[in-house]
Amino acid sequence: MRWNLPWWLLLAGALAFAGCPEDDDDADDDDASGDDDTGDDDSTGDDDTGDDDTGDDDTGDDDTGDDDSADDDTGDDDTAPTGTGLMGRIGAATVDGPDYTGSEDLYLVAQKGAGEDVCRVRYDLGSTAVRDDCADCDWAFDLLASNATVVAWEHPDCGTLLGIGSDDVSVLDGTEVSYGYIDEYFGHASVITGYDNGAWAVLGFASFEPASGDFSYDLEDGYVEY
Amino acid sequence: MLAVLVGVPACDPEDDDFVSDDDDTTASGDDDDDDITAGDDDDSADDDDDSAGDDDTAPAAAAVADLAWSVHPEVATVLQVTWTQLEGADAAWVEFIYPGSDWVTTPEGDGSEGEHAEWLFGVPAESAVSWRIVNRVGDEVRVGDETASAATDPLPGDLPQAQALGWNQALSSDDRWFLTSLEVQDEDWYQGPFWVLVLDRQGRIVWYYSVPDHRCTMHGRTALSGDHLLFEETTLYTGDEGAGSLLHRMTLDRVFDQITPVPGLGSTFAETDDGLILFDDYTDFPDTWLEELHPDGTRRRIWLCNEWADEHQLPIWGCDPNETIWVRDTDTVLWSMWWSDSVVELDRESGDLIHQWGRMPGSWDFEPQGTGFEMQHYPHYTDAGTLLVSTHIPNAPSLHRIREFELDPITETLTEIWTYGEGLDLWPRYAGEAFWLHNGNVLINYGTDARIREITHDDQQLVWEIAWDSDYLIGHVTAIQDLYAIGRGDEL
Repeated sequence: MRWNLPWWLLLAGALAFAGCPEDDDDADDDDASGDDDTGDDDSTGDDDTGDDDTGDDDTGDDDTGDDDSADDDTGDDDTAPTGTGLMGRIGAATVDGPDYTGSEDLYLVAQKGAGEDVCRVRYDLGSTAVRDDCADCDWAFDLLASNATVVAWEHPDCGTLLGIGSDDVSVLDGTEVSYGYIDEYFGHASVITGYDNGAWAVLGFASFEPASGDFSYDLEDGYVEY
Repeated sequence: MLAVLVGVPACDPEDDDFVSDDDDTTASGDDDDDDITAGDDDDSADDDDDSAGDDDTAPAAAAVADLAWSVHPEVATVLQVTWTQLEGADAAWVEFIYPGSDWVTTPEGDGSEGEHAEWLFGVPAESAVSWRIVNRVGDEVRVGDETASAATDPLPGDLPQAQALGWNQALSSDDRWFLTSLEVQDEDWYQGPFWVLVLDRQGRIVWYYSVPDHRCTMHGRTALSGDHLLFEETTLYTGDEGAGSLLHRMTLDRVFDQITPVPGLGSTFAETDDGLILFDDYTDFPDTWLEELHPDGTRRRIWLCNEWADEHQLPIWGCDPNETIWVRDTDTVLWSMWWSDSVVELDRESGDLIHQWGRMPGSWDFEPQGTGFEMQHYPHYTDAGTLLVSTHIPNAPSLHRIREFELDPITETLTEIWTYGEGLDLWPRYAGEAFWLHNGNVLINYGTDARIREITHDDQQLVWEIAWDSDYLIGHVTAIQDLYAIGRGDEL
């Protein structure tokens, strides 16, 4: 199964929940610095608790895999947190010759990325083959996802929001993706590339340290209402 | 008093007495500096510097009231002051002083009865400012009775200040400010975040603009019209082949703030006297065009670099320029390519290749050999008709030089006549440049080595230097003498 996760599934998820990012979320940003009782219109009855919509400490990470886990932290089983979150995927790996060993998170973070995790799913990515058809890449691999687990699931629709299309994150196991790396794209920027629709394309900025093999990236897909 | 340094050795700044120039004066105490006149030279009221309240002459005081001030909502270092002219005057202006300055005089403005406002530019962050209103009535200059106080706000927390390493004011040019861009990133360059900055001679940030994420600004400048800033925000490095790129025109007060989308704009641009924008266009990448954008929004393709690159069997990046420079005298364009270590000069109208310098076959010779280009930046003609270039030394890792060449089109030879950098451990891995200031000194920007210095041309004496404490990336630098010329958008 080939996996085009961010480009259409994430976009579909974003579009499905798109609202007016500018209208009410600035307040969310602002109150990240302590103005707890404003700006969070999620309203689950805990308006002045500060850390309202995501990742409350009382959930820890233990609610992973619970299909109905999103409301566990509030006690309001009939409402879900709302707000504007930053979606994306972040990854880290070690690249050692023909081997790529790492992991990747799909995330939705509250308050446009300044808050707590609303949704986060993590899986391993390991190389299955070296790709030699990315002409400008320093290296490129076919990668296989495995061991998908829930790190945060504070909204009942995380499966859709993250573009997984299911509340069962194990559907990600066995999916494939191809990544490459260009150290000096147009002479300068270090970027991660992905193979999609028969061509390699730049996905975003990345960092690679050849001496250690440390590779990392954070591909922000934009804001989404949830 | 501001430090005045002399006798700084040319090539070994690390072990001399090039001390920091941070002995700030107070708002009222800086007696013996040259005046910094923001706009108007024939100032006013009070040439002895002790600020307000001089009673030694006794002209009538300016009839003003309601002095008030505020910090610019988007730029913490810019103040706006307001006042009411109780009586009309032929002209009115503001004098102000802040740590490290002498009294600064704003340009003369309307002195009619009623409410007035003026921007105070050039003040560093978190600085106390004393200011007063001055009127001209006939031949008489009248100073307001009240000297008011104001203060700028702190800089954004993620905006690092440079360190002032020294300033020999007697030998430096009279440029008091420098426009540049800075990437606050010391490893994965060109990923941002970028800032457009105006720095003073102490390295203090006196104006800033935060370039949005995923946009890169390396070629900011004052527009040829001289009345606003012009810089690019390219998205080339995000992988969209410049589809989201734009040009941004702005005054310091942000009142004039004009964006022109330029889809396909890569990493360089130049402006002509006719208002054309010359730039590298990646719309049809890997085709790489020199293109011009007309004031009416139409575009014309001038030169397809790939045809030249194909002759030299260059790879995908072979045409990518790091500088596009318009040459006024000949209406030609210098296109500097980092991968091929080459510069071509092109006729702007026809796209014909006129000269070729660098590593590729068919280029002019270098004299002496070994003075060629590698990752050259900002090759341009000086006022003397020589070619000034910042370049790595070919096949010599981590060595850098500024080189000035005489050009002989008969023998097609670039003969080095001046060089700078031997013995210095300064390495602009990316970017960097050198250009003459109007007094003949040379300003050198070390790109990713995050350092700007001014030297004298003839004896290469170091006369000014600032540096950041990390390997941030510095974009193109422009010297500025008058902030008010680029300050006020309501005049555009």
